[in-house]
Amino acid sequence: MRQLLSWTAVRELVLARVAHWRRDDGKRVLVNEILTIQVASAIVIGGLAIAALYWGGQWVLKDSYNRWALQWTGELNELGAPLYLEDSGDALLRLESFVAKYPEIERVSYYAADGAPLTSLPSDPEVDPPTTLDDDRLEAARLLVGADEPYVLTGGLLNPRRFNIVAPIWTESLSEDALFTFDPNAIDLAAEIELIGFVGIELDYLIFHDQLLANIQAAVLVLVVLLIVFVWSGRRALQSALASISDLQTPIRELARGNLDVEFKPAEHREISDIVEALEKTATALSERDSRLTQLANHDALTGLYNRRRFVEELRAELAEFEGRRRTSALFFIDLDRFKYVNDSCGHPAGDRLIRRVADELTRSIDDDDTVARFGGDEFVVLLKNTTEAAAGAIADTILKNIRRLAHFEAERVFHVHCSIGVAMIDGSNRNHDDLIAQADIACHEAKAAGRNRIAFFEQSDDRTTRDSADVGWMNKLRKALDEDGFELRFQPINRIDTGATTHHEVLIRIRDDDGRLVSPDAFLPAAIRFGLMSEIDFWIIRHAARAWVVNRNSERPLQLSINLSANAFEADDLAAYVEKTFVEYDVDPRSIIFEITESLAIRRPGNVERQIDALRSLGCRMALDDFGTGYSSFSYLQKLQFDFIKIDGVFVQDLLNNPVDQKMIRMIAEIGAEAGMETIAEYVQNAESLALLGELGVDMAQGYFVGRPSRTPKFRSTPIPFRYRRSRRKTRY
Amino acid sequence: MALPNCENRTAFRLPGLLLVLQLAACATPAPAPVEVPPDPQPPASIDNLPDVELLPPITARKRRMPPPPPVLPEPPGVAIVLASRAPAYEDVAIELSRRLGRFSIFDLSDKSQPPEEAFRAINDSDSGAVVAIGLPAARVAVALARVPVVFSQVFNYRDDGLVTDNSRGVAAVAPPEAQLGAWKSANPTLTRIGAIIGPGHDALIEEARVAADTLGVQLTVVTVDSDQEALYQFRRMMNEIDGFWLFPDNRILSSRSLREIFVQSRQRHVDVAVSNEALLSLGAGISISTVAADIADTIVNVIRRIEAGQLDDLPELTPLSAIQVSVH
Repeated sequence: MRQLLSWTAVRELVLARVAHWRRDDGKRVLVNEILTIQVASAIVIGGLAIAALYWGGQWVLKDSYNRWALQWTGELNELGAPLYLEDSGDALLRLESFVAKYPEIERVSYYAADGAPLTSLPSDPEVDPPTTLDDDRLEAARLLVGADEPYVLTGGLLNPRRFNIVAPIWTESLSEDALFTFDPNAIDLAAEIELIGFVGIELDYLIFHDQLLANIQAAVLVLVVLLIVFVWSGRRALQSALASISDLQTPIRELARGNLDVEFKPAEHREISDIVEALEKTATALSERDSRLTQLANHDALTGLYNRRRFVEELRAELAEFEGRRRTSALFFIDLDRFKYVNDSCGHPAGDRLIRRVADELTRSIDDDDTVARFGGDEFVVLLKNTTEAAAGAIADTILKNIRRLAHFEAERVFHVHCSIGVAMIDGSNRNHDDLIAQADIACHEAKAAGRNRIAFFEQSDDRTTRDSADVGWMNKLRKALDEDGFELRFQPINRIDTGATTHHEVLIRIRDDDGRLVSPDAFLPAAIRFGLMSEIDFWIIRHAARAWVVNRNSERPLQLSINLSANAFEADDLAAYVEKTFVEYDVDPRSIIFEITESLAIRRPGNVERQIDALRSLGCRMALDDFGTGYSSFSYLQKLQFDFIKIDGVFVQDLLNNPVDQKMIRMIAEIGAEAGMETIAEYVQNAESLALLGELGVDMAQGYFVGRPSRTPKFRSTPIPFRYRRSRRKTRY
Repeated sequence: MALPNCENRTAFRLPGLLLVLQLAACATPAPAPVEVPPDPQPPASIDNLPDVELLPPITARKRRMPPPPPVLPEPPGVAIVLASRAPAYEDVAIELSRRLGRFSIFDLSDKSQPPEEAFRAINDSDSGAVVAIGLPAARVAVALARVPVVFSQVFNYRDDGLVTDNSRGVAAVAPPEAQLGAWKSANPTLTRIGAIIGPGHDALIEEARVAADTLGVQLTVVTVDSDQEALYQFRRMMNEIDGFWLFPDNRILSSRSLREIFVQSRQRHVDVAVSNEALLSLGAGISISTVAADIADTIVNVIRRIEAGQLDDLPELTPLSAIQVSVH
């Protein structure tokens, strides 16, 4: 019980130490761990050393016991004296003194030639006298008379320390009188030998064994003491040595928290010094990158002005100033007039240079306290803080004039751009920044609608309120849908007319309104475009279309999807990279994806369109030209862009059965498409007659409610094959 | 050299000279002339011999020329009985043969003639004395001979009662004084000598003590009864002596004790004197042995005194006069 308690106490102590060696957060402490390893190693090595010492000592001792025992056989003449000396009494006394000097001699016994016991040493009356030698030992010893090793040595198995020697004592005399014929190299076979008795020696080397154990115990004690000293001093030494690492904890923790102004203490050790230097460089680099990222995150790359995000922060901060205060500020929404003309005429670089000049002009037109930002494209916003409506109007007018005066030279031409300015006054009644921006934007639209190159102040009215609210409401919904994956995809099949089989599905985006009803893009795309969310929506569609492709692909029926791209997305420099990254992430086969762009987009910026198409095709994707027939593009140009499909605008299909012009148009498009290697798809197919006629006109595929309605998942439903195709098949069969 | 056999007339060869002797028991012609044999040729390699020093003033001489046979009336023959043909016995016999006019030699190691037969023949002959060389020969001679017996080369003569009314002996070892003197001369640092011997050599021990006193050497003699006891005593005296006088008492010596004595003597730097050159190889420092010619002379003198009727005046053992010293 006591042992159990003490073991329990030890265990608890160990656990307590272990717990102390871990921090409160459960993480291991390096110093303790190194020390533990060292101590454990020392214990293991020490234990092995002690075990080796003990077993080695045992082995050596055992070997030594044997040799020591044998040494006593060399003293048989001395020990056997009482047997052959006449004056055995004195001999015994002398032997007793002799034996007393050797603690390993437990007893020396003397036996007559017949094995009868005579006497023993030491003569202890309490010790039993020796008994008669047993016959076996007697005989064995007798046979050793005259032998070179005249003794029987037993012992060492059960108890390696105890030995028993029995040796015959005999007298021997040379045969030849006076040694006249003595030959030292010959054996005197005639020598007279007389057995006079036996001597038995009992040896016990317990004292040496005990001494060894005592030495080992002392060694263990010394080792334990040294270990304790080592642990104590080692801990201190380690702590001191690792102090420079420990000093890094706090600054690294601060660095992890994002505090880039952290300072690192200089380290004394070279290795730590290198680490500290690297950390300092890292912190500096992070700080610089942070600044750059902040700069990028908050500023427009082209003009250096604040971007939308940063401006919204400024606006919100300004709106917070209205808390409990009466003040007014003004928000300008500035849209350049005819900026597209410069872009289209002289290219993007020219447009960019113009934008930068406008930005500089705007910056010069306002005070330092005020804020100007570029919202994207040719749209700018200005926040005039703590100003009146009249002052705002004056500044707006100044800006208007300055922009008018702006002469931009490009390619030996002079461009004069104007701008339309929408002004929304901030009086604290509405502190929703989105609403205010929307109001200024709306006012800008009104200025444009009124003829451009003018200023318009936002005035609240019921209709306006409803409409504005609707627009702002959509913006919020779209923002939320983007953030929370609130959009839904639908898939509408496109079938081949000749086979009736589904070839691919167009991906359509939907959103649910407040009543839970699905709303088509017509309702929210204008708001998306206006509030710059279109590009995000396109990227969302690409991502989710890829996900849908992975979920719905079928080894029996290959799934191909057709994704619409807006102008915003198509103008993004990272479109192809994003597509590639998404397809790799979801393991989408790019050959299963078709991207659709409208004809009007295709002809708007030909250089960029060509580049983007090439980039997408290089990934393996195919291209479809949507809403063909409405963009007034040239066929040669379209052929150059390498489209795989031409989607005939539904306006030509709606009244196809009754409109020969539409029929001619479609036939022409089909023929040209065939010649150009492009397949034609007719949209808005509502009935079988239209389908059949489209087939007659040479159109390859059809899309529409007759072919299939948009569904949650891609469905494969065959459409009836027009008669002409069935007839041609029969012909082929026969 | 081979001795003539009374039965088979074995040629008695001397190096370089062939001499055939007709023994009295086998033929009765007049004795053949005895040619004085030349001195024996030195051995093939004189380097193999231990060093021999000439030691004044005591008689220390090498083999000398045998004296010419006296011109006397033909004395009775002498029967020489050998225990064996060991050189220690044979050499003496040869020397005797040079000195005696008529003699007959009997070899007890020859199993073809039992001792009884040999002594019957001797007793039936006109041998006036028997010279028994070696203890076995002396035992038999004393027991069977009807004529006086002179024994030699017997160390432990008392055990067998070899000295009787009809027998006397010649010492088997060199005179103690001569031995000790030679040893002392060879090892002047000798001051304490020990000796261990069996019982029955009181006279020899006394002579040795006198010699030691004369030479200023402390002599300790211990009498023991066995080789074990000899070794025991030797170990006890080892630290107190610088020389050990090993008497050739086979009763208290054995191969193991000899080995042990010499090993320990070597370890303790104790000089050991022996009476047999063969023991030099074991580690003895000096061998002081008898001279066969001297033994023969002494025997002859004893015989003459016996022939002169002086048997009773003779001591039990007549001492020798010469020694032969070999130093290791």
